[in-house]
Amino acid sequence: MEVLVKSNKILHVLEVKNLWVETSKFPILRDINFKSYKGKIKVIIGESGAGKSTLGFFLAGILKNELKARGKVLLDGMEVFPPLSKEWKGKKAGIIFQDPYSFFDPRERIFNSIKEGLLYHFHLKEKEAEEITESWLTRVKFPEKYRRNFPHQLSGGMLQRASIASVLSLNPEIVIADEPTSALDPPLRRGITEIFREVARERYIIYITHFIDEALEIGDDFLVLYGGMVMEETDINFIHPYSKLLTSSILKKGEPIKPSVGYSPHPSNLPPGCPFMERCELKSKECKKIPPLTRHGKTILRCWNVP
Amino acid sequence: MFLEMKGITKSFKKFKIKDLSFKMEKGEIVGLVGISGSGKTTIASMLLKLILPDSGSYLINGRNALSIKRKDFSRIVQGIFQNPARALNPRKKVSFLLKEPYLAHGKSPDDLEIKRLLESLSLPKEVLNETPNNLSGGQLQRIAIARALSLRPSFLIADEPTSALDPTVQIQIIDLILKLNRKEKIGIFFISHDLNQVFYLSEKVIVISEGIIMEMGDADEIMKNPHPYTMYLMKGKFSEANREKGKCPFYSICPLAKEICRDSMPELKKTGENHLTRCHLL
Repeated sequence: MEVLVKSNKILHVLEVKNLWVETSKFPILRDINFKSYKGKIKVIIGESGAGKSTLGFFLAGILKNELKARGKVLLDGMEVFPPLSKEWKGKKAGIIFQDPYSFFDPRERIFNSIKEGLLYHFHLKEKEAEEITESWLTRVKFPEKYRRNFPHQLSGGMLQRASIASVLSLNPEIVIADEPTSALDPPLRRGITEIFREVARERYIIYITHFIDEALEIGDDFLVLYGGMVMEETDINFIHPYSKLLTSSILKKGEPIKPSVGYSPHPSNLPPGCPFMERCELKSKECKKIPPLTRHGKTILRCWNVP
Repeated sequence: MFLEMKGITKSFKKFKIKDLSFKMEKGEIVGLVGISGSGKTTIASMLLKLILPDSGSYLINGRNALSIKRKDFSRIVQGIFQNPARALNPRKKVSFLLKEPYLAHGKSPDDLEIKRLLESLSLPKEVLNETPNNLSGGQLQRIAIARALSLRPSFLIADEPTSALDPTVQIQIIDLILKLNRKEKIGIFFISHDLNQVFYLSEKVIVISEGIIMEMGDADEIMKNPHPYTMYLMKGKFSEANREKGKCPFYSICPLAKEICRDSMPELKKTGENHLTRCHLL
């Protein structure tokens, strides 16, 4: 396998280049470019309609049939586009959804569901599949006494742990987590993010969330989407006005609220030029044209007006 | 005007609200927090009379709220919920949805009143001609709030009104709730998973576990000296229960638990000027 070599150090990179995802009428993702490094958690943030889940579904190889994708995906320097094969789904890339109840067959016990996944993807003996299932459920701290329960007998947090175990049991290189904690209360959320921290070392983790505090806590670097476009790709140093708007949504006792104006646009109804223009404090005449992605130190940015 | 619950109990198959007592003045913001399944929505539903308690009393200004006719009650207490789309008829235009509460009460709203509502909620007048499916989550929640406020109630029960919204829109709704509280002196009962939001907004906070109040009082006092369970909500990570269930609802997880917590339910005790805590160890 070809890998990227930089200063004698092997860089394991998942790279998305010029990715467009479109319906027959309008684009949902427009010219997406980013890199994710093995062992680091790449967090994707943005509001509804930004294209976060579409990007996650694309990487997991489960894009809806009616959507057309074009662009390049490179894994460790090797082109893998389009990621749609059986080998890709599950074995190479696994996805964890917001609603864990939709992940499992309601008629199958949790333990058996995970085991069946293993038997489907690998030539394993029943005993081996059972051992792997046990070990992953233990790793995500899923209590032993509930392992033979049906999904409806478990709480959302417990079931989310099981869905993580199920995805990780296939040992995928890429794990996409699409708002895995949205339906959970704070202690459960923290428990789930802790699991991702633990399993990130050997994997590419793409973590989609709309909880900004959670994003800042778990993320090693960030991709900020708006109107189907990358607005910023950065480590913690956000400089794009939209990223600043998102990060300012964490309330601080004693500090006044600065509510934003307007809403994120639907992809079918994007304004011409920079999609964020209408809500932007820095907007200028130039924003009527879409700004290119430019590099500012460690940050890659789409804005005409950030100095 | 005040709203009061005294010794309320409500039993379901696997869950029980036990001896719920608290008071809320008009113009106050009271927050309610607890993990999933702790009884938050049951309390909101009882405050709105959507479900009735098994025993105890629910009073509004000292009068039995359960004996107040539905029409009169809806002029005093109104509610908004997590999913505003479910609360709005998808086939009706916003102009009708905003007039509906007035019509239900035999009033005919003038355009000026509707305009005032739209302005106070920062909604453009263009939304009047739209149906709910053409509007964003934030706009729908504003319309749900507009409907709830159209009868000028004294109390608004807000059950997770921001949890389905984008972070920027959450802030817009929080800002709106604060403004309504300050301008119109509406009492807000604010339920959320987001402790940051609850403590930002609320003067008083109630913390609940398994249908039992673990702690209540001034938000600042709770922040300074939280119950171990509140601390768990603020900073804890879910872990498998360390031990079997005890009389104190937090016994199985509590890092400070002792034998007494297993054997007897602690009373709500005064631990500050305006702070009650249910813990043997504080």
